[in-house]
Amino acid sequence: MTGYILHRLASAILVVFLVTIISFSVMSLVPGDPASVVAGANATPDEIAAIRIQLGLHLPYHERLLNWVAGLLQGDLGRSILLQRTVAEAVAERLPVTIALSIYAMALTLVLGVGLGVFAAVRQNSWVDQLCMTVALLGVSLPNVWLAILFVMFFSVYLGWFPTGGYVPFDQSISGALVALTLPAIALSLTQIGLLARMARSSMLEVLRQDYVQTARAKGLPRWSVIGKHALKNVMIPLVTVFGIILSLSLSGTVVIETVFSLPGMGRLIVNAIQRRDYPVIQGGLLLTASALVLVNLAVDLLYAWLDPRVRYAD
Amino acid sequence: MKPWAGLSDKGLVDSLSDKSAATKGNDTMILRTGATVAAVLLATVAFAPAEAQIPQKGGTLTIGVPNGIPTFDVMASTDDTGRVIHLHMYEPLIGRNEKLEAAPMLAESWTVSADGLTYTFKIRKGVVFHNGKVLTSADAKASIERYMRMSVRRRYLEDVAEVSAPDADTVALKLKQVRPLFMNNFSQPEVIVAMLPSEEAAKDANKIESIGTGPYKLQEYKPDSHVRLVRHDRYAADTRSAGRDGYVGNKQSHIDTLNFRIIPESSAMIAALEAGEIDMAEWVPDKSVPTLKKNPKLTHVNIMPAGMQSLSVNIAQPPMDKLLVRRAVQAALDIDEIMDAARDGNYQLNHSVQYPGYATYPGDRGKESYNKKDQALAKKLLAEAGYKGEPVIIISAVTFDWHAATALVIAEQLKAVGMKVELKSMDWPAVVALRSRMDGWHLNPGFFGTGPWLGDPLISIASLIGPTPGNNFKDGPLYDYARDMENLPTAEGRLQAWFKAQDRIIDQVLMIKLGDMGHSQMLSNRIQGFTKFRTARLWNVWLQN
Repeated sequence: MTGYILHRLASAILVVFLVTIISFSVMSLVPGDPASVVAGANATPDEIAAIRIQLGLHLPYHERLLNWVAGLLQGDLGRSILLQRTVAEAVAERLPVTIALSIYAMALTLVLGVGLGVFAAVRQNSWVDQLCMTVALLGVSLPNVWLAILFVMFFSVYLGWFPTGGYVPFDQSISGALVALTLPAIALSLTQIGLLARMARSSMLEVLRQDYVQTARAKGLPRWSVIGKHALKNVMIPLVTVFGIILSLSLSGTVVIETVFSLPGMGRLIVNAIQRRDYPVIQGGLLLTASALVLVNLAVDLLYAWLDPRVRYAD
Repeated sequence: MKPWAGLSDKGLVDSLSDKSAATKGNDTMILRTGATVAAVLLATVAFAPAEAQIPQKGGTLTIGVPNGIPTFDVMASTDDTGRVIHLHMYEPLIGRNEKLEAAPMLAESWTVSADGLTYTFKIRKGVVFHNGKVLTSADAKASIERYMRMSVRRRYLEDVAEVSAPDADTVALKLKQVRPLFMNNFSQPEVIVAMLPSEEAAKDANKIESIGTGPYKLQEYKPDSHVRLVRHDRYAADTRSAGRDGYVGNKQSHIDTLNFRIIPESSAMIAALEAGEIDMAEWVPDKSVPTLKKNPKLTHVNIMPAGMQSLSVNIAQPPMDKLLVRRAVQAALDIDEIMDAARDGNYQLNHSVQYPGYATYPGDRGKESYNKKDQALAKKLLAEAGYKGEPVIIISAVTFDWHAATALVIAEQLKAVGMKVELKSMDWPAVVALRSRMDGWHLNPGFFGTGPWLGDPLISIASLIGPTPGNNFKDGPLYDYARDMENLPTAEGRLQAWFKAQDRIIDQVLMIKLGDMGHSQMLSNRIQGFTKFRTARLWNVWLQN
């Protein structure tokens, strides 16, 4: 197993490196550079050209690429052109916001998604099943940006229960942070809850028809023990695969949610950097995002082995 | 000196005692439309009669701004949001007063030598930077030299040959040649010649610490979240004035903290305003104004005009190299339709790149070619030009929805007269990159704000007269007029040169002026003492408990 993990990590480094080289090259091909953003909308072509030289953007592609790779090999992600700080500092500021939002949203997704799916399967074809699946279908169908705005109008403006946006750091106020993240987390998780609930329902229905479940029932075990102890663990194997995909979707979904709720997270950092051509931030952000996704996939593969003893990876 | 615009010959500057005879001698601009100017500026400053009330000290004012700022280097950018924040943190020696005239800020006074080449500024005593250091002539010299070295608008000081500091309180600028508009450039609030500590002024662009002399200092900047300014407790208010006066005057920081919250999504901005989480929205979409006006806790402020929408023409690229084709485009446009789409009704028609009521406004001169919406004439001109359906590419930045809307309507209007139009939408950096090329585009909607507002036509047409003109065409007569606008010794001569320049731009369709745009702000009624201006001024403002 150790050998397998080391092998996967080695190939992950290669994947991440390739992702950054490709993204650097693609961004070099996209027209426009940060000089126009720094100069402002009223700047003349000559003023923008002068700023381009100040920022070193007149250097040829290969020279900029070599500078970037040389810095990277020394652990230096570079300095943002527009944020007055290093990329590492910018990421360190933003990561807690996105991690907190993602954990909150994933917790809601797991509890509500699996809960709704299992509940619907157990009460198959009843009104409970219909209700759970309607909720799941709405979650999948409604765009989360629309829901987010609706939540803000109703829960923040009309009822005044939650702030309309902004982030409160956990070290400042735990309750404040949780309140500030509640609406964004709900808006972010609804699609994922819908997906997971539908998947959990069908997996559970399949498992409930298996012989070992029938045997457990025949032995007279209580119903919730059969479901909770015997069926649920087997339902989790396909769900872990979906969970990995959902986590990736969730990370990309944070971009929209962070914008609507004015949260200074990683999603906005990268999207703004792309829109304003802040090359070092794009590179650093993509490097970390790619690394995170590769590690999530590795973790999912390892979870298989833990959940299902039949799965073994060769060293 | 007020070489272009002003309310009257008796401005605030004249009331200050240290003005030289040489300076006064240059104030000869004929103000043909003084009464109208007065009306415009009175309308600009008439909001909120709260100056008479007793200000309350303390509190936090939260202002929603639609985007973050690209740099905290005050000399490095023309960015609008950046300007709003920087003008609370930094100050120049000379600024602009309410009438937009050059007036002392950190300078006690200034004099001009008899030959008109040397400007000498006495620095006001007791001015302290945010880091506690006292402002001296060494800081002033280093700051001006930095501006000349790296500022995005260093062309404003390109005629300065030498900066010297004869004593600790005096800084002198020697020009290479007499420049009647020098004080105009030195005092402009677009990219201010900010005073920085000399050790910061030695640093390159975007490398400085945010240390100024303004009434507020930077406490925290979290990109994509907020910029928090706090009161500069050792701020040296200019007690020569009774109160606020444009960007100069007696600035009092009644509010403890100014929290600029960055809210890019307009619906989120409106929600934050209605929920009372922000006290002011620096900008709201005009379509939301009727609903917001129904909220009794809010006040709508419309700055009209706040900027101009124009259409750049790439003259290097056929078929726009043909004058008749350009005139056909000019004839085809229905400006009302375009501006209404761009600004949801918050616009005014205006054929000039100067505003009605300004001394530099040419009246109806040039109006005959504006907003003709004459499709028959456009078709006739296209036929005379031998237009054979060559594609016309309009590029627009989706980053700004008014540009996208402008481009869309223009595309349809040109199609209606038989032109083959390709509309290409992209983000702002891509538009800037593309329009700097000689090919790949023909028309591009653009916006400019501060230059026209300052009443300086040279700033308004800067993109047509630089070393690399934005329309990719160096029009000889226009460059000659621009030189006259800058160098003729009398104000009347410079004004006439400007009128000829505008005639030339309209006649040759070197660009097309579309219209003037308003800018809607919303304020909580808690805010007292606020008066509207081109950019929000939050000094001399307080919060009602």
